[in-house]
Amino acid sequence: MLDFFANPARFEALSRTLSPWLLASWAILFVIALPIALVFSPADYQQGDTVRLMYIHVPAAWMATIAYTFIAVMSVMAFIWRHPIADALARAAAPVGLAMTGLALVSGAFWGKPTWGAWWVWDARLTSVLVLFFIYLAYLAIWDTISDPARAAKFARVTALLGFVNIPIIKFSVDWWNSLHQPASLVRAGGPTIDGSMLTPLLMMIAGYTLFFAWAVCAGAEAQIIEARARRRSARAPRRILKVDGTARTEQAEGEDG
Amino acid sequence: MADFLQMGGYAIYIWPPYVLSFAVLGFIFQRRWARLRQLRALESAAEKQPPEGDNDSVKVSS
Repeated sequence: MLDFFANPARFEALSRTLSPWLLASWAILFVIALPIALVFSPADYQQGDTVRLMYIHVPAAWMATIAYTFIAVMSVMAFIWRHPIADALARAAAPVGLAMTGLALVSGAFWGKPTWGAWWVWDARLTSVLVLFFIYLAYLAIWDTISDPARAAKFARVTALLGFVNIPIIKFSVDWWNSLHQPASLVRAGGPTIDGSMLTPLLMMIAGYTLFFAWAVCAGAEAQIIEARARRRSARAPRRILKVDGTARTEQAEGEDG
Repeated sequence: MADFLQMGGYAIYIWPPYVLSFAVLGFIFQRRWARLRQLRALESAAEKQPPEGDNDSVKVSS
């Protein structure tokens, strides 16, 4: 199955087929979930209406860690099986993961102020998510600053795998250390502790963010495939060379493989 | 409507993150969509273009 989609043309065809469905499902989920989250779901008996921040904060935090896990898995696939699409998928996921981490931090700060009385505390959960933000920045900086794509890919994979150590720290930080942040209430042994009236819109928003991420990764990887094809085409195209005697000669370009 | 917008007195904490979240999602969507459309259009134009320079040596007209 993985080998089947290792072919860029096959992946591109799959991406073109899936993209409209991913976008449509994302839009439908948001249109249904947002009114439930903002109007029909009840306010919390302690936090009041600030609990409505949960419907954007939790999906963003979820996607921040899922996107990084995806990057780490793709890096392993690129390292071990030299899967040609894996690096493109990982690179396409990183800006989305960075944005989601930023949104989780900002929405968390806006939730923290009325709930804890502080925009920010150097708590294990918050700090480990901030570290994730910087790991994303480092990962993207590697792709953008190293001009040789093969070398950049190698460094990016190593960075992705080293940074993955932070993901279990984020997940279990609320169990391992004293924390202002609430413990896991969604993904935990014994099931979610959230009431159904809040859980339904929350799961819909999480599904919506996940579909958006899937679309953004497909679109980003497809763009990289098209760009690579354009680079190969321009490298193969005959070059017209003007000679000093007033004649022009066309020459097949060399260097890049087809 | 006013009650809804006031969010129980917490509007200042709730609406800015919502607006920012949708702005960021919209920005990512716009960037990726526009880039993909542009690349597809460029590729399609390049495929339609005839290959240039079939002759081995061409006299340049002055």
